[in-house]
Amino acid sequence: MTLLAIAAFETKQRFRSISTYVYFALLVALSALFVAAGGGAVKGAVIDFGTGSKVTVNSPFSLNAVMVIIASFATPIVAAIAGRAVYQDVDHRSTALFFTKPISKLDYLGGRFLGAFLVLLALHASLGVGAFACVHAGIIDASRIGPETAWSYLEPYALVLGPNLFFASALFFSLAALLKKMAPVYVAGVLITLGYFIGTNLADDMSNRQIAAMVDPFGLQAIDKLTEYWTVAERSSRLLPFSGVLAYNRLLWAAVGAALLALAYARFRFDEPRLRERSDAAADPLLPGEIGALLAQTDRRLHASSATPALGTPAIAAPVPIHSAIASYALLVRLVGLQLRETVKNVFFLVLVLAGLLFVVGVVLDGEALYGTKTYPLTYQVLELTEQGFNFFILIITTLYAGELAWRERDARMSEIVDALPIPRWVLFTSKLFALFLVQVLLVSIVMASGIATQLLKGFYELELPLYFQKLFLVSLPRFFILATLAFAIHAIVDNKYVGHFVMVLYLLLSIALPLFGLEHPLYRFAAPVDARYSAMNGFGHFVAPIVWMTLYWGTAAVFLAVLSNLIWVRGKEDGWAARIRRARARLRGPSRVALATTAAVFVALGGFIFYNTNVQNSYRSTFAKDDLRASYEKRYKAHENAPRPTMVSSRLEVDIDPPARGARIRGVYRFCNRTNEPMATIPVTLDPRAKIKALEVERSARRSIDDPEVGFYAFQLEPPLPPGEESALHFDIAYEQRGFVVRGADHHFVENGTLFTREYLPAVAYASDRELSEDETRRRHGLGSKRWLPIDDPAGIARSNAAADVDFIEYEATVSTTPDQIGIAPGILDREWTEGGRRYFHYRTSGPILNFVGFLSGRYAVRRDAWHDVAIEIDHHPSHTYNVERMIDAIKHSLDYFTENFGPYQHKQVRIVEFPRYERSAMSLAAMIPYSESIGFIAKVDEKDRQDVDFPFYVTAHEVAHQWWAHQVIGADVQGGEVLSETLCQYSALMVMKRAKGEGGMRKFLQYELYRYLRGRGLAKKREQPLGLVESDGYIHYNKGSLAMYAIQDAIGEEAVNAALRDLLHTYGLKGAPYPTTRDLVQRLRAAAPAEHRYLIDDLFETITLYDNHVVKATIKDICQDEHEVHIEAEAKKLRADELGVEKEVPLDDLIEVGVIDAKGNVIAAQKALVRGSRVDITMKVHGDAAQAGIDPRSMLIDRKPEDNVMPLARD
Amino acid sequence: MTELRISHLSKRYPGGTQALSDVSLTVGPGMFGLLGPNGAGKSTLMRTIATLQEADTGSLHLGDIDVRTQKDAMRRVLGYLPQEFGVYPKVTAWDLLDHLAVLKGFMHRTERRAMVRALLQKTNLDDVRDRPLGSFSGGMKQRFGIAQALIGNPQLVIVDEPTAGLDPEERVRFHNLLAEIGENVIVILSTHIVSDVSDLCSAMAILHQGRVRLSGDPASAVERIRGRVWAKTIDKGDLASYAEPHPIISTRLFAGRTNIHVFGDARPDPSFHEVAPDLDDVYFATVRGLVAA
Repeated sequence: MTLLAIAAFETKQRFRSISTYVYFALLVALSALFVAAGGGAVKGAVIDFGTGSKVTVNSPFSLNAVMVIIASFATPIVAAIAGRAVYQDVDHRSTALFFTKPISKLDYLGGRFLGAFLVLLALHASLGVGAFACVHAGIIDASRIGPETAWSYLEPYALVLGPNLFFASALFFSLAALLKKMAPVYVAGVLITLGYFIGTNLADDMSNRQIAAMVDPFGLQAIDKLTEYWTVAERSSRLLPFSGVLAYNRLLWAAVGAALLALAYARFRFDEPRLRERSDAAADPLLPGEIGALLAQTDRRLHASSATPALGTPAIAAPVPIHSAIASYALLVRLVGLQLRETVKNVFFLVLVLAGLLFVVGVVLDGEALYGTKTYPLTYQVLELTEQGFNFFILIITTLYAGELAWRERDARMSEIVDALPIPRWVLFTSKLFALFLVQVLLVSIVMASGIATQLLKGFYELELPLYFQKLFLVSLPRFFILATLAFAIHAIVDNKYVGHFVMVLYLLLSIALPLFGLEHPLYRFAAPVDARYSAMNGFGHFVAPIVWMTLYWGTAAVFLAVLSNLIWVRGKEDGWAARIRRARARLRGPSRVALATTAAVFVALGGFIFYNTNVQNSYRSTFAKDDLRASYEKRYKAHENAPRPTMVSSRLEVDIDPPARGARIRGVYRFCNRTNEPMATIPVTLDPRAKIKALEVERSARRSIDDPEVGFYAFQLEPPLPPGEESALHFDIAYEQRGFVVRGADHHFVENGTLFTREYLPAVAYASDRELSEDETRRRHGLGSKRWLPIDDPAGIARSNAAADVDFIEYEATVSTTPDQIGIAPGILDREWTEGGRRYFHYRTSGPILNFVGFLSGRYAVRRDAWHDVAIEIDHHPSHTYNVERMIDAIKHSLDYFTENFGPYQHKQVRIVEFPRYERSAMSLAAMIPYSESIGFIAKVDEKDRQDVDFPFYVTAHEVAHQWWAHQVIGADVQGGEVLSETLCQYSALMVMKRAKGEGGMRKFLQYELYRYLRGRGLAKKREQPLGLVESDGYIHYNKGSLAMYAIQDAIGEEAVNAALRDLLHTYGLKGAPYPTTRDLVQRLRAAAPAEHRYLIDDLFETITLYDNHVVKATIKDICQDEHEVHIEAEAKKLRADELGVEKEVPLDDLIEVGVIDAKGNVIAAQKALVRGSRVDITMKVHGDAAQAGIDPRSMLIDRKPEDNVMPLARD
Repeated sequence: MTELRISHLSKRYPGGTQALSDVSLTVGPGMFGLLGPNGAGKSTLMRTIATLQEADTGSLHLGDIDVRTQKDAMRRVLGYLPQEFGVYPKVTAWDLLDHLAVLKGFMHRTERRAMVRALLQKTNLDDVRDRPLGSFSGGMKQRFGIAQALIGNPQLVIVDEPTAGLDPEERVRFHNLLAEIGENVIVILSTHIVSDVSDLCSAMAILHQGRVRLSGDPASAVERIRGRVWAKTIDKGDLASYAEPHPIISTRLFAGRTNIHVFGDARPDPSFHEVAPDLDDVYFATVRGLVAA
C-alpha cells in the first residue's frame, strides 16, 4: 500500500507539471511529422525507415520503425524522469524527511520506480497517438495506407517500446539510486547510444549479425535480422514475430533491467551521506580550491578555526588587492585553468572519453569494408571514420559540460559567494567558455592520437600529419567552438539546467531533421557543416572557400551570442525575466554595445556575401527544386522521345579544360543522318542548363521552334526538312565555368586535379531519357507517374540503345587540352601530343566506330605502362596510390585473355584505367578507357592469405573491362531487361575471370554476398519486382540476381555452352546500330546451347521470380578408413514462385539441386547433383579430406529465402 | 514512562575523525537540551538516534525498542527535524505533509486529513497550505519541518539546531511550539545557542569533541560554579595580556568595550568583580575543560 501511495504521489506531481504536457505534445508532433514524411506527404522530405516507398505506413513494421526512432529522441526525457525519481531527494536535500519514516526499501524504490515508469509509459503513448492522428488525417496518399487493427499500434509497444522503456528506466533509475548522482545517468544514456551504434556497425559485417542482434538493448538489430528479407507485401501486413533472436533479446534485456533493479534494491541504504563540516575541507576538492583561488585573488583574510574561540586575531599586514585590466586577464587565465581541471579530472568525463575511444577504435580497426574487403588506413579514411564516430561524443560532452560549467557555482550552492566577489562578469563568463573550448581541443587531440595509433597498429606509416592538423584543428575545431558557444549561450539564457540540455538536444535534432524536410540552405542552419570531401588528388580544393566563409559567418554569430548571453548572465539572485532584461540593459555599455553592433554588421555583411556566391553567382537550389527541373524537362518534352529523330554518325570534339578555373570550353561538330523513311523537320537537342552557350546551331536550320534554356531543351526547325538518307550537323561552342563558391552540391566534375566529365555536359541530338528522375517516390512528389520501361518487344524501344537515344555507334575523334602539368585524356589512342600557347594538347582517335558514350579527364597522373600482346595497358593514377596498380594490370591481362578467347576480339589497341577523385564512388567504362574512383579500388587492401577474401579491385577491373564487350560492342535495347545485356553479362564475365584466376573456392563467399544483397534489395524495393528478363533498372536484380543466375546456368550447362551463346550474340549484334538486342535474344541463345533437362533453369531464372526454401535436416559423418568418410545428408527442398509484390506460392519441384560437403575453410570438397521431385532429399556420399559441414546447395547457387540453414556442422554417426 | 538510553556510543568517520566517544546519556520525557560547539558531535548523535547513521559501538534504546536493530519500530514513534533539509519546491505544503503522513503509516484518509490540518494550524501554516514550498521563507520552512516531525504524536522528537536563522519573533514562536509538545514526549533539542537551552530545557548535557562533558539540569550546573566566575571590563588592546595568566572563559563586547569573564576559585585580582554565573558561563567553562563532568 505504501508503495502504491509513493507511486501515486510521484505520478500526481509529474502530471501537475507543465513540462510533462510539453513533452507529450512535442512527441505527438514529432511522431505525426515523421509518419507523414515516411508516407510521402511532406513535400521535399526524404525519410525512409527501411520501408521504401511502397510499404504502407500503418503496418506493424512501419509503425514500429517510426515509433522506435522517435522513442530514441525521448531518451533524455526517460533519463531525466527515471533518474530524478530517486535523485530528487538528494538534489533537494530532503532525504532526511523520507528516510526517517517507517517505510521499507521496497516501498520507497518500488514506489518511485513505478511512478516514474507509469508516467513514462503515458508519455510514450504519444507516439501511437501521433501516428494514429497522422494516418487518419487524410494527408497521406491512399496507396500508402493499409488495413490496420489496434494491435498494429499496440504491438510495437508490447514487443519493442515497452521492454526498451523498462530496460532504460531500470538502468537510469538504478544508477541514480546506487550512486546518488545524476552524472552517471547521463553517461549511461550516452553509452547505450554507443552500444546501438556499435551494434549497427557490427551488423554490417554479416558474420556478426547474430551478436549484434543480441547486444542491442533496444531490439532493433534483432527486428532487422528477423525481417531483413521481408518483401514489400510482408512489410505492409505482417505482424512482427516474437520468435528467434528477437524473443531472446527481449528476455535478455528485460532480465538485465530486472537485475539492475534488484541490485539497486539490495545495495540501497536509507542513510544520509555525512554532511560536510566546514573544517572538512580536504575531502572535497572543488569547493576549497575554487573558493580559495577566488578569495586569494581578491583579498586575504585569516580563516579562523572554529575549534578555538576567537581571542582576537593578531594584526597582519593584509596584501593590497589589484583590480586592473591586466589583473583581469591574469585572473581569466587562472580561472580557465581551474574550470578546465574541474571538468576533466572527473571519473565521468574519463568514462565518456574512453567510451568514445573504444567506439572509434572498433570502427576504424574494422575499416571500411566492401564485399568484406578492407581498405588501407589512409589518413583521410581514418579521419572520416573516426570523426563520424567521435563527433557524436564531442557533441554530447560539449552539451553536458556547457551545462555543468554554467551551473557549477549554483550546483555547489556557492553562487551567492562567488557572485558577490569583485570579479568582472566577463571574466567569469569567458573563463567557462574558454575552458569548454579547451576541453574540445583536448578531445580533438585525442581523436588525432587515436587515429595515428590505429594507423600504426595496422602497420601503415604514411601518417600525413599536416592533414590531421588541417582537418581537425582548422576545419572541425572552429565548428565545435561555435557549437560550444551556442550550448553555453543556451544555458546562460535559459535559466534551468535540464531545460537547457533539452533545448540543446532539440537543436541537434533539428539540425539533422531540417534537411530531411527540404530546408537545406546553410545560411539559416546554425553551424551547419559544409558538405566537404577530402580527396588525395585535390586536397580540400574547392571546399576551402565555403568552409572559411561559413566558419567566419557562424563564428561571428557565435561571438554575438556570447556577448548577448554575457549581458543576460544571471548574477546574484535576480532570476526573473523582467529583472534580467533590466539588468542586461543596464550592463549594455560601451564595449558591449560596440561588440554587438559590430558583430551584427559583420554577420549581415558576410551573409550577403555568401548569399551572393551561393544564390546569385550560382543558382541555389534545394534538392527538391533541382529534381523539379528534371521533372519539368520530362513533363514538357517527353513526347519527343518517340518522335522521329536523327541517328548519330560522327563526333569531332575540341575540349579545352581549365583546371585552375574549374571549367572547360567544348567545341564540336556532331554529324547525324536521317535514317527514317520520311523527311525530318525537327531536330531535338538537349544541353545541360548550366552550359554557357556561345554557339549552338544546326546546319540549314531556319529557327528554333523550342528554346528552353531553363531545362535545356531546344528544337531546330529545318527548312527544307532533311530528306531520308541525308546528313546534317550540329555545331556548338559551349563553356562551363565556376563562379564564386557553393556550400552544398558543389560540382565535383571540374576540379583542380582530376577533372572528369562525361556525356551529361555535352549536347545530345535527342530527347535524353537518362536525365529523367528515376525513383518512383521522387517522381510522384513532382507530379510524374512511375517510370516504366517499354515492353520488351516495343519497336520504338528496340530502335534505340538503353543508354540514351543518341548513344549509337559513331566515328569519333577528340582533342583535349589542359595545363602543361596535367595529362588530358579522352577515349581512343593518343596519336599526337604537342604544346602550344602555354597549353598542352592531346589528340585522340579510334580505329573503328565506338559507342557514343564518351568522357574527358585531366589530372596530374603518374603513368604505369604494360602490354598484353599488342594492346597497350596504361594505368594513370595519383602518384602515391600505387597499392593496387599491379593488381589492376594483372586483372586486365586475365580479362583480356579470357574475353578474347571466349567472346570475341577486343576492338581497341589500348586499355586505360584512369583515377578520378573520390567525390563519386564508382567506376565506369568508356571506349578503351576506364575511369576508376580513388575510393573504389585504388586503396583497397586485399588480404592475400585469406582465400575467402574477395579481391575487390580485381573483380571491379574485370567487370569494367568486360564492358568493352558488353556495352561497347553489344548494347541492349531501350526496353525492359535492356540492362541485363551489359550489367549481368559483365557480372558473369568478371565471375568467370575470377574463377579461373583464383579458383572456385573463393566463389562461395562472393555468391553469398550477392544473394544477401538480392534478398535485401527485394525487401527495400521501391517498386514492384520484375523477373530478370524484364528488369527495369533495379540493381539488386540485374547485378546481384544476375550474377547468381548466370553462375548457376554455367554450372548447369557448362561454361563453354554459355560462352558459345554469348559469342553468337556478339557476332549478330556487335558494333551494329539499331535494331538493338533484348534479353529474348540472349535467352533464346542460352536455351539453344542448353541440354533439354536444364532449360527449366533458364526459364526459372529469366522469366519468373523463383526462390527456393531449402534447409538441411541432418548431416552425419562416419569414418570408413583413414582419409575416407561416409557422409549422410538429409535435407528438405521447396520451390516458390513469387508475383511482383512478393506473394509466394509453392510450385512442384523437378529440379537438379546440388548436395555437398564443405571443409573447415568453406571450400566445397564433394558435391553431387540430385534430381529432386518430392520435398525430401536423402543422399549418402563418400568424401575424402577434412569434412566440416554438409548440406543442400552448399555453394549457394540457388536463390534461397534463408541461405543460412542450407548447411550444418557434421555430427559423428 | 519511556526513556531514551544511550550507552557507550562511539563513532569514527573514515577520515579518522572520532565523532562520538563513549557517549552515555539517559533522557526522559520533557525538554532535553544538548549543547555543544560546531563539530562537537551533536549532529552525529542526532542522526544516529534518528536511524540515519550507524554507530560503531554502543547501544541505543527507546523504551523496549533497540534502535539499532528495530529501525522501523523507531521510525514509527520518531519525529525528526534535521539541521539542514530541503523540500520539493513545486509541491504544496499540504501535499507534502499529507504524503509524509501516509509514509508514517496513516492510511485512512479522513483521519489523516484532520491530523494534517491540525498540524498546519498548530504551526501557523494553515493559510499557506496550498502554496508551493519553494516560496516559503526560512521561518516558514522550519515550521513545516516541525509540523512533519510532529506527525502522529511521536514519543521522541529530535530537533537539530532549529532556531539558527530564525528572527527573534520566529524564535519565540518556535519555543512556544516546542514547549507545547507535551510532558509525555521526549524532546531533544540540539543547539549551540545557550539561551535556547536555558529558556526551555529541564535537563541538559554538554557535548564537546565527541564526549559528554557535563550532564544534569541547568540549575544545578549553574549552582556548581557559583562563586567562581569573575568579570572585568577592559580595552580591546589589553586582551592579549590578560589571556596569558587567566583562564578567560568568555569575552563580550559591550558599547565598544570588552567585558571578560574569568574562571577561578579565587578572585584573580581586585579589579575583577564576582558575577552570578549563567548557563553561558557553564558552557564556556565546560568547553574549555575547566569544569569536570
